[in-house]
Amino acid sequence: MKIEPEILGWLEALLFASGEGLTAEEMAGAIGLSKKETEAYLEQLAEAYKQPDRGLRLVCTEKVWQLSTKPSLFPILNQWKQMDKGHGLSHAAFETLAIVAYRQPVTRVDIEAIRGVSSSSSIHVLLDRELIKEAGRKDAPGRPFYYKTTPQFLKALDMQDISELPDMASFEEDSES
Amino acid sequence: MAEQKIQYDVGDFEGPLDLLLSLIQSRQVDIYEVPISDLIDQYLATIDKWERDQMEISSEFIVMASRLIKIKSARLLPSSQEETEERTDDEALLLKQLDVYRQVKNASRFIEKCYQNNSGSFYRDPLYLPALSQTDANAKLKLDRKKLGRTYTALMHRYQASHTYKPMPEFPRDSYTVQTQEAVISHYMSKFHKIPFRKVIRKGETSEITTSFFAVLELYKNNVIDVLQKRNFSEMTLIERKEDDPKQDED
Repeated sequence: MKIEPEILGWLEALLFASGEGLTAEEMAGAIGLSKKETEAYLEQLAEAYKQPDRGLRLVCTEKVWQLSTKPSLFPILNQWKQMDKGHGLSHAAFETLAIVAYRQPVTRVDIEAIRGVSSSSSIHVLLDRELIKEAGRKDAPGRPFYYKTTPQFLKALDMQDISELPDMASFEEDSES
Repeated sequence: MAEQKIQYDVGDFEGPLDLLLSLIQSRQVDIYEVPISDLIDQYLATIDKWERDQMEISSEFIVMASRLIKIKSARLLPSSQEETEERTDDEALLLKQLDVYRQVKNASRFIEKCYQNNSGSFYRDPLYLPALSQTDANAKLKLDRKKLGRTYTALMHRYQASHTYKPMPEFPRDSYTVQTQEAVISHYMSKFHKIPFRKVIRKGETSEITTSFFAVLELYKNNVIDVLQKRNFSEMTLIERKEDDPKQDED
């Protein structure tokens, strides 16, 4: 496939104007190419953004393509305006998040059985940050909520899809070292 | 023992499983190969030290301690079976739990790293794009000067109606206050010395009854009157109390 540079420009314009992100289908419709061709151009554009002379990056989560500033440029932006980087998640919160990510849908009781400690405050923090959400109720006494991860979670980890999470077993070696 | 030298602080651990895992890892052995009695002793010693140092230990640590003591005591009992190496169900469950927790902990480290690497990027909100809907695009834009004027006038009227200063509405004063009712009751008292509560009420309005009731409580508190009631919800009788007379019931 021959790459036409101007099409990269078209896509960039669409992404800039949309802000909240577009699917490849939506963009394909606008530029009159097939979805497959459009995706190839988007990959190309994402690659181009990786150059150090670009301040933006193109991320794709759950099939939605979106522009954002590069995380590495946070210090620069922070010089201009003091900002909350949105860190501040505790180890407890990350443990809870890991359990939800790998075992979703899970209930609070499931999480606490694995961690061995009360986890409701971690769950509240994660709900508040929209990294997890309620996903129906378990058909058990007390009808507890199920929790699962959100698209916001994938975006926060720069993953296109939950399947990108590495296998749990792949962490074995880390613990040895 | 070398491990005993390591100082553990309760704040360093996410919970009892985390502490157990650290104790195992300090021995550099696999979870399933750890000498369980030693591990239990070490755990209990750590908790003990924390308690002696008067650290605040959450209940989960204590629950785990009791679970470990149960495991340990089961091991001490002379077993009818010859094989003592066999793990009991409680032990197997604990080790499995530790193994799962270890994996989750490792996974959480990975997620944390991804999260930190990615945080601090900013996304734009969608722009306001003045999109034309299909029908608007086809319809010719027609403006009627008179209609526009009328609309504008109507709009300004409405604007003025809602934006002009209105005087505060006058709120009716409470016609009854506890003070006035106190005065009323005191007046009756000086006249009749003894009176049923119902006689104090003149108009029967709710606010009159409630303020009168408060006045009765106030007067009773201040030792001005006594109150008699035969049974619940029956008529109250108000009785004057003589200041210099400690005997309260004159009847």
